[in-house]
Amino acid sequence: MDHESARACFTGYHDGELAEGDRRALEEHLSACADCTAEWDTYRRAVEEVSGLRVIAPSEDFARQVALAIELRGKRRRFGGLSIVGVRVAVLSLVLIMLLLMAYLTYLLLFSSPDAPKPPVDPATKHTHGDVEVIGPVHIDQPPEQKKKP
Amino acid sequence: MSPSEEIQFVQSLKARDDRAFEQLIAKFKTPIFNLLYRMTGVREEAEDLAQEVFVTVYKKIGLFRGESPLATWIYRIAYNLCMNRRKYLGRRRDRERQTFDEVAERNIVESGTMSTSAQISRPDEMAEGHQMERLIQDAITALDEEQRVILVLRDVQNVSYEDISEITGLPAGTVKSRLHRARMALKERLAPYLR
Repeated sequence: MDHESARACFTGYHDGELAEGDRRALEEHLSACADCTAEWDTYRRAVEEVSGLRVIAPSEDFARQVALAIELRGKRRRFGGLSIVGVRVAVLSLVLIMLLLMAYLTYLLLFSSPDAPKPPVDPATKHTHGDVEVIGPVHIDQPPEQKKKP
Repeated sequence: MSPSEEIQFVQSLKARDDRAFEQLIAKFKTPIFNLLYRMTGVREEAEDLAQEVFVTVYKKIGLFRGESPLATWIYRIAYNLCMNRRKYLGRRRDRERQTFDEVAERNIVESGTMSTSAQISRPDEMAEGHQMERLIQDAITALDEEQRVILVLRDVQNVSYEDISEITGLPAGTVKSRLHRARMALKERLAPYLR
């Protein structure tokens, strides 16, 4: 086993996860290699230091703070049984419906009454074709001057 | 707590039993806070996140299907919050600006004083001045976040590889390789103080 392979086995070796063959090979290497033994010793001590850190507890009124947070969150999110998002969607929908209704009523007032103004028609471009009144140029390809010549 | 007791306990939580929720906080507040403290290295931040973990548990307990132990599910919430904590803390600060007056008022009315954790000088906080502990905490905090969480779960919280895999959703091989890289990086940082 070379140095790199030996050091790659440190975690498995420390946690007892190494296969039997690998464990023996590593132990053999460590017994013959001072550098890797020093590395292993530092590794083991570093892990021990982390595992030995004190357990830190939260503040004494932590449970009360959680209860307060739940209560506040509940108040903020609820509004008459609807969530804030629900209220917003409902208000926006109502405004949209009102706008559409107003637009429709305006349209009815302007264009549906008998006295309503009709769009002006240019007499020069008004023609009849059978029973159908056609508005617009008859001969699109010919200029108007050609029609006036006998 | 046996599996059948845990099922009953979860039923009580789902039924919004206040006493069951108090028991849950009493049981998990220290391991969850300790995990978050070792992840962040900042008491106030850890307290904020731990509080959010329990608020989330309260809100989402109805979705808990019992496919994993309750502890693993709670650790998973803590893990996810921790991974998204920058986003979450930004949102929380905005919210707190809106509700600060209300909270302050409640604190004064209920306890007669302002009682946020940041304002209390605790003996264990003063003891945190121990140099070696500070060095180790700094070395942990300096690790890449993805490696740090695995190291803290395994070496600080003593969680098994299998449970870490379930909490993080990572394959066991990834958990082992990240733990190895984390420990090696930590060894390099602490080496001058350990030799």
